[in-house]
Amino acid sequence: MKKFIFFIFLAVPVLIYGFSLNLTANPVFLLKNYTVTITMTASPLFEPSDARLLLYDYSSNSTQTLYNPSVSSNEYIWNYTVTDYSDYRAIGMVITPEGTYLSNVATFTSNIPAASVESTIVYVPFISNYMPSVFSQITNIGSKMLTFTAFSSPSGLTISPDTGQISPDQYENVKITPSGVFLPGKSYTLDAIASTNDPRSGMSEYLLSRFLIGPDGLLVTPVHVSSTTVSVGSSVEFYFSIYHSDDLSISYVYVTWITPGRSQTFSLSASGNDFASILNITSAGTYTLSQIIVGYNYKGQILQMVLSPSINVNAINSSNSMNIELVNGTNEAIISVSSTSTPYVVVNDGPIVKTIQMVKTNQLWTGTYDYTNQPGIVNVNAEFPNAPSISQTFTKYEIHGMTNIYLSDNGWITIPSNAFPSGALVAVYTGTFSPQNTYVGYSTFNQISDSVSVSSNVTPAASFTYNLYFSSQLVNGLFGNVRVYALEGGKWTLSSILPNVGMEIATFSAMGGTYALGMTTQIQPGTSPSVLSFYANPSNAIGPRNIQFFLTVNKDCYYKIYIYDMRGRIVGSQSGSAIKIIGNLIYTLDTTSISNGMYVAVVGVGSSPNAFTQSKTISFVVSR
Amino acid sequence: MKGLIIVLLFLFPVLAFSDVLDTIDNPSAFGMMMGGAIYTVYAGPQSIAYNPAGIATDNGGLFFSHVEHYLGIIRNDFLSATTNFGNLYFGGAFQTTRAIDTDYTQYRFYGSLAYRMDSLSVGGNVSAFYGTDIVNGFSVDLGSIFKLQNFKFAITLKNALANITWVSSTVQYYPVEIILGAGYENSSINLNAFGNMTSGEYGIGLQYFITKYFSLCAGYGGTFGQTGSFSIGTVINNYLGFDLFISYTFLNAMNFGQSLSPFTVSMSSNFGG
Repeated sequence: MKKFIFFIFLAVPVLIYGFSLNLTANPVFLLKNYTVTITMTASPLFEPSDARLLLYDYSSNSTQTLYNPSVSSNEYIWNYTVTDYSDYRAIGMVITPEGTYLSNVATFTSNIPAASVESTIVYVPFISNYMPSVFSQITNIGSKMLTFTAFSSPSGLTISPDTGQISPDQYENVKITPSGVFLPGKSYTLDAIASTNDPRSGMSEYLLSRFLIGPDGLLVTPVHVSSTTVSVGSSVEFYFSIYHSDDLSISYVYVTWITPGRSQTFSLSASGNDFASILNITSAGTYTLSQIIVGYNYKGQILQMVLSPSINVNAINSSNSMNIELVNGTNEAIISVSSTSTPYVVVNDGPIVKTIQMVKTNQLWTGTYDYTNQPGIVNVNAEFPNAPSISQTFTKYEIHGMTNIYLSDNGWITIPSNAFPSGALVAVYTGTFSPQNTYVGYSTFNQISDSVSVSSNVTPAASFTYNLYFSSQLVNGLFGNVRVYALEGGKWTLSSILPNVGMEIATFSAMGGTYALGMTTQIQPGTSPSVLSFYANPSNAIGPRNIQFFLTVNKDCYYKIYIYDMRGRIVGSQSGSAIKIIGNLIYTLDTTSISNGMYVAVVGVGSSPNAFTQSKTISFVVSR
Repeated sequence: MKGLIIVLLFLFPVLAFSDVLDTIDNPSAFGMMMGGAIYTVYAGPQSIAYNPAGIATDNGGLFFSHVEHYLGIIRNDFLSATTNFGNLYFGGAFQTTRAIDTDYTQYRFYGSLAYRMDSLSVGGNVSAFYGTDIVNGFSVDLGSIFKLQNFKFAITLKNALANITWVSSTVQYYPVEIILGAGYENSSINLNAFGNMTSGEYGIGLQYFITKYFSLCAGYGGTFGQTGSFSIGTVINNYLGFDLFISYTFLNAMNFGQSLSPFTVSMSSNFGG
């Protein structure tokens, strides 16, 4: 009945010519327990005997009348505190001796969706591959379903979930993660913003989180490998880039491959921001690029970043084979493929991608390629109709100094003729040096115990400082084993000259004479390696997951790890070389194939591959 | 017939499970110095861990053994006792395995029963498991020893009906392990061998009696396809009322400069057998 009367008021307004009442409500959308101001403006000004406000509440289906407005000039103001989630309609009434006047209808509502967000400001001064995620909570403090759409401004943040609906008094946790490309040296400001259907004035968009990123940092790009399915005998190129800010310097970059039965660690040197090397596939199985370790110096601290790309290369036995012969003194590479089917051979030489025409002689297919005079890796890939492809690579090095010798991954050395007196043995890959200034020749270098001779029969006026750069592949991580041998009386003896050996570089000074640079696998007596730390992560593996084993040693060495169960049975083993860095990843145990319980991991380290002089044992638990 | 089928289903679920129960099953110094091959031996209370039929001997009483495996990281204690009423033998055992660098312990309780006839003994264990990550577990061992003149034969069904409920609420079932043993014994030597048909473990051990109270042992045991371990030891009987077992194991000695399973001592008292 009350509702009926109210609508009668609305439907039959009493209008008097020349007099009007204008009613407004502010705010129109508000929360429960908030106050709305309802203002009635009379025009022209007159003296009312009575002004009142009729207020209809839809949820309680009731009408109440408010009296005694505050009066200011020609405005009549009522303040009304909303105590319910409801829609409201209001109409003003003025009673004068001349008659009763009604205003227009003003509406307001507290029956709305309304958001509440706790914003977070995240300061990430150091850009790296591990950027922090933050959670922001959106709560619906209204009475209707709240919908939201979240976005990044500018792009670069991943928000999950980015859309959703939230019921009254419920909330949603939104995860915000930096996912864009952030280059060290620059500063970035990114906002995660939620757009909602909250109708309150100026309340439709909320800042979930603001990320202030940079300018310092170290970023490793995703690793690319030249092929993930190859034949045994192939070599696989892998490369990535590292970007860092100016206040940071790279000390070392190691890449660990878990190869069948052992691990192999590469120490990579930079070419600009790019790092690359070659993995030789010698047996069938799965080769996993398990770890990249980047050592860097930042604000006086020696720090380390460890990445686990877990890229697999599957190597399959094949009757096909490929051989690359580099013709001495030219840029010509002769590619020979033994196959019963027609090979499709493509060369990738920096930006150049070239298909090689192959000529068949019996089962041997032959083609040639003239490589460019730019340093870098040349990849030759042969594909077959019904067999896995074969991939092989060779490396071109550029001479940067007057006295540098470079040993390539393929067992070649390179030396400019003016670096040594005449008579030095040097090799191909002259880079930007003109051939006439370079003594061209080569010395094969197949085993790490071989020596490479650099000799002179001209006495220099003063001692030379020679730098020997070597590949960590060749020395198998065994730095510190570079020796200088001198030819005296027709016999090679260990020189009194002591090389200063660092990571991938050995420096020595010598007067005139004939010298040899040698690398041996034998670590000198009395310098047995010792285990500084050995741990499993996690040590209690709950659920089906991998357990990784990390080893820190005081010098480069060989290791062998065994995993035993409580009955003394070996459930996993691996051998390889570890280098003097923090936390070599030496083994990854897949726990899905073993039963629950306690296990032990035993690692032995030593100066040769099969004689371990120190062992350390740890226990760990598998629980699913 | 249904009962037989059910029993077979429990006894031979080898193909349905991935791995055997991972607990220390060679806890005594005598077992270690014999390469684990004491399944055909009436070894008294320590037989509970091997073949429960082996407790059916007058050499009962109390047995204790402590082993430090893998450079002492894993420590195992085994305490057992047996007694008899005529030809009926009763036994009980308690085994703990713990790691000193991890907060982790396993417990195993045994109850044993054996019966001895002239040339044949049969026995059985019931085991319960508890531990840091074990809510409960259960298994049954059944064993027999048969003597034919100087030759001995043993069949042991180990960890039948074995299951463990882990704290993660996962229940794992384990296959019964079929272990065959054979041996030859005279007044001078005691030669034994065993093969675990389920896990691929094997061992062979020789005991040489210098006197009635003193013997030397050597054994080799391992898992098929893997490097095994070589052990030596001595047995001193009736030393101050105890039988004393001392062994030393070279586990994977070709690869590691230090032994992973060093000195092990077991003692047995013959007060009640």
